[in-house]
Amino acid sequence: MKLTERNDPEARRRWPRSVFGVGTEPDPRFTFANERTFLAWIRTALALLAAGISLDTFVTKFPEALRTAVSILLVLTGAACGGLAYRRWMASERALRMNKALPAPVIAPVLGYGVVLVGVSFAIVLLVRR
Amino acid sequence: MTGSDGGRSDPTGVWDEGVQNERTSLAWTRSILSGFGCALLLSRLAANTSWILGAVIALAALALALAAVRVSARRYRQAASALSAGEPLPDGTLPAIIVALVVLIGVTAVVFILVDL
Repeated sequence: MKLTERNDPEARRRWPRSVFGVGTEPDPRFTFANERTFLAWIRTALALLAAGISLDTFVTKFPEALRTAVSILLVLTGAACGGLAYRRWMASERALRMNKALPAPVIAPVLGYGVVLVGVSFAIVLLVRR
Repeated sequence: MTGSDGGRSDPTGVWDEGVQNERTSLAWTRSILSGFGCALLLSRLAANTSWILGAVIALAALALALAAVRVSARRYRQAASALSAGEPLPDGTLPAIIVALVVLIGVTAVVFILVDL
C-alpha cells in the first residue's frame, strides 16, 4: 500500500482521515460518481422522511395507531438511510483509494422489499376500509 | 482517461467529456431542493402543535437552503480549480453536514408526530 499523502500538509487536512489517510488518489471521475451516488441515497432518505411526515400530517381517513406507527417507521427508516449513505460513501471512497472492489449494496434489497411491504399493506387497509 | 485534452489545461473550460463536476453540482442542487421540500413538510407538521414553531422551522429551512446553495457553488469552484491544478478534490465534510441535517429532520419529525398524538 502506497501512502502518497502522509507527508503532504495540504492533503493532511482532508476529512475523514479514515478515508483520505489510506491509499492513493483515484481517478477524479470515480470520486465524483461516488459523491453522486451518495447524494442519490440522500434523496431516497429525504423521500422516506417526506412520506412519513406527509402521512401523519395530511392523511386523516386512516386508523390512528397504524398511521402513527407507519409514519414513525418511515421517518426512522429515512434517518437510518441517511446515516448508511454516509457509511457507504466512506467505504466506497476507501475501496477506490485502495484499488479494491466496491462494497455490496446491502441496504438496497432491504429498502426495496420494505417499500413493497408498506405499499401492499396500505392497499389492503384502503380496500378493507372502503 | 479521455484521449483529448478536453480543456484540462484551460481552467475556464470543461475538464472532461463526461462533465463530472457539473453533473455532481446539479446532484447537489437536486438534493438541496429535496431537503428544502422535506423541511417545509416538517414545518407544516410542527404547525399542528404550534404555528410559531412551524414558522421558525420554515424560516430556518429557507436560510439553510440558501446557505447550502452557496456552499455547493463554492464546492464546484474548488473542484474545478483542483482538477485543473491536478490537486485532490473537496473532502467529506459537506456530505457529513448534510447527513446530520437529514437525521435532524428525522428526529424532529418523530418528536412532533409523538407530541401531536
